[in-house]
Amino acid sequence: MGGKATLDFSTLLASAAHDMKNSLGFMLNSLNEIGAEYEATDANLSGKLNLLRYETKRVSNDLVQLLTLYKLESRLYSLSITQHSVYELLEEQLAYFQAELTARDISTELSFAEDLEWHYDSGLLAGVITNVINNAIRYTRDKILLGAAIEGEFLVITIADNGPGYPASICAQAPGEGGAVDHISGSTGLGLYFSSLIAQLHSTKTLTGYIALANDAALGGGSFKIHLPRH
Amino acid sequence: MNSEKFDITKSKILVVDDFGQMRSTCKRMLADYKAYDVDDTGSGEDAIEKMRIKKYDIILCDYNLGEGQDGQQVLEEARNEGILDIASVFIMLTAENTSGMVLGAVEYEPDDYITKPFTKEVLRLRLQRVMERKAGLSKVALAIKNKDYNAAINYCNQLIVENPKNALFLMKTKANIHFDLAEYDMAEQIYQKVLEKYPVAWAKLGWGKIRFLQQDYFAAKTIFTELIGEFPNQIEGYDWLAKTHEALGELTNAQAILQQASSKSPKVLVRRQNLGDIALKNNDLETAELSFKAAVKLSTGSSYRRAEDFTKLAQIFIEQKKDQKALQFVKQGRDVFRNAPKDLLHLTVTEGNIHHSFNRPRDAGECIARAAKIYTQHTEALPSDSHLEFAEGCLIYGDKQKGVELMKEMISNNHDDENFLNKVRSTFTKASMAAEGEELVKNAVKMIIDINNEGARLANAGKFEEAITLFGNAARKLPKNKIINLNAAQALIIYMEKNSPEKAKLSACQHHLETVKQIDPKDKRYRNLLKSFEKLTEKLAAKG
Repeated sequence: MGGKATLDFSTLLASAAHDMKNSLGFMLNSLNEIGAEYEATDANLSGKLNLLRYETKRVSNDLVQLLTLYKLESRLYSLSITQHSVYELLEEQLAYFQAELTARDISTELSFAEDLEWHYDSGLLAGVITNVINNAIRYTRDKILLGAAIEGEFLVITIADNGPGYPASICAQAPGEGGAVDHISGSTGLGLYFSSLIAQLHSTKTLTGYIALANDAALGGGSFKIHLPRH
Repeated sequence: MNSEKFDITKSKILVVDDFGQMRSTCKRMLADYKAYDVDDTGSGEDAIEKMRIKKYDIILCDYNLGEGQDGQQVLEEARNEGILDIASVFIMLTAENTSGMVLGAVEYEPDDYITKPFTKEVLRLRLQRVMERKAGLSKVALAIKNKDYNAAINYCNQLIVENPKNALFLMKTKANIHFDLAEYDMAEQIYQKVLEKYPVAWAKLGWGKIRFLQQDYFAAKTIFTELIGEFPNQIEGYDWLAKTHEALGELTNAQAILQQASSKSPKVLVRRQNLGDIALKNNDLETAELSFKAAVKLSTGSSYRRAEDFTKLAQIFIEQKKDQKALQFVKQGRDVFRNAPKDLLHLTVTEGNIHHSFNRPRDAGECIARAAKIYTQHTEALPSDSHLEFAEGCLIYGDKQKGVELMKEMISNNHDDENFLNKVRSTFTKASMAAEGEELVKNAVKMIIDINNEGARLANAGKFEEAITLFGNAARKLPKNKIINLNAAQALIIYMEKNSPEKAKLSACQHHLETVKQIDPKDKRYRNLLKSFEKLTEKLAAKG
């Protein structure tokens, strides 16, 4: 054998993450198929399957974020900020979680103009929204509200729920700082770090993209806002 | 989500993915929406094969198909072969966020990308949106297929009014048709109007192409440079920027741009071919050789395979005085294209050229005799450049008299096409017959112009029947001349418009119009005359 094989650790992690994500994709589909066959006749199974589905999507989403971060870091991803329909983006995010929303009896509302369009990287923003809805499903009582509006030079997308809201420590934290892993809540800070980074990547010469967390939503729970400047 | 609107029960669907598990997952999702006509395959090559046999309404194709072609290549090949029309839905499935990865050509953009993993609800939503966008397009697709361009444009206009939400897509389709018809002003207007509101790649590319075709190369250069700045993954921008550099005589820049594009998408064959072409012009034989060899290799089994890749390799070896190597590539090409008369003729004449360059008149003569056989058997089906190429071989090292006869006929059929006449002139020059050639061109062109002038004089004097006879006779003598046939049709139409439509004259008129459609279905005069012809036909029918 020649020299010792060298492999960059982050590349190794990325390929493993990629493989895990594909595997989860198949798992998710199998779960759906099992559900389609037996769920109607077995309410007990249904509850368990929903938990499995939800956790699978959550891990899958974490992996997507890690992979995206890796690609951004190693310059394998070139940002593509183009014009999109905001409504279609959010509508599709709800479709992705349709099964969980129905199972948990969560009602959703898309309240804004259907013809609203804005410039952003749709793949990256979709990653952010998936993550936030995922959390909202976990913490809300029974309502999730998706809103979007143009405020000055920014598009502001709001995702609010009627759960207990964010812990004060997270709200106070400066965006992008990340946080310590909380093994009880399952929060690793990854989602917030990711969201805040993606918002910043959408900055223009004069305006910076950012996220804001608060507990002052009309629904009484937590509210997540991402502000994206006009391009 | 609007559930009533979504119906794929009657859709013919093809699922392409190299993972069996993924295919069955997709099929099960589709089955949930009551789709029953669903085929699937694991390879791009087989997907193309299936699409040749059956016309699919929806294709879900994975981007990464393992060893063979990738999803983008499947899409390009299908569009290129005409087995996927604009009304069909092609959705690319991708492993991750690929906006930074997938390299595409604007002309060959899928209708949508779906990132894996996705749920059946997401699949439905995407299909629903695309199908809504494409609703009504099947009649446009059919009109385009039948080369009925007037109708295609009318349908587009109609759909823009009926469905303003899809205006952008329809504008693109309409601009494409105008562009294909060489109605550049109309197309440019659309591109500019769109660009005022939306910075989309297709409009920018189209606008640049028109500036290029109008020989406004400086404007074209600015537009294409901006295009690759804004859309670094739209690979056609590089091709056109390179072309523009070439037109400006900046061959080194042209090659550099193509090299840049080639390294971005090494698997894309067309780019290799373009790079080879420009390197050959740049006299960079080394790059040219590498590019054409790569092209030959990449094109195995693909519809983008060109006989020119083989003959250009032969040309490179002729220049290096390696006749055996040159012959070897021609032979390889002949083997590949043994069932394609046009390519076989091209390769056979090239073989003759090799022998001629190395002073072997007997071998060259043998080649032109073989070429003559192919030519005689397939004369009707061959494009004008093939006729010219064969005639050139005849003039230089074959039956000179036959060569001259062929050239005469070609000049008479294309007397109004200055581009073609220049090719004719340069062929005569290569055969050291420049003066003789010029004389032939002059006489043939004059004869036709005289007929046309005489016809115009008769028509102006109100002697339409005489004009009809004159053009009718001329068209019998010059059956493939576009202008003569157009004039013959027009004389008949004017006569019937002044008097009344009659069956025999309508049928004569239809014959001339059909002839022109065979030669150039996009001709503007043809399409206008066709409208008048259709009105006259209706009028006769109304009379009973």
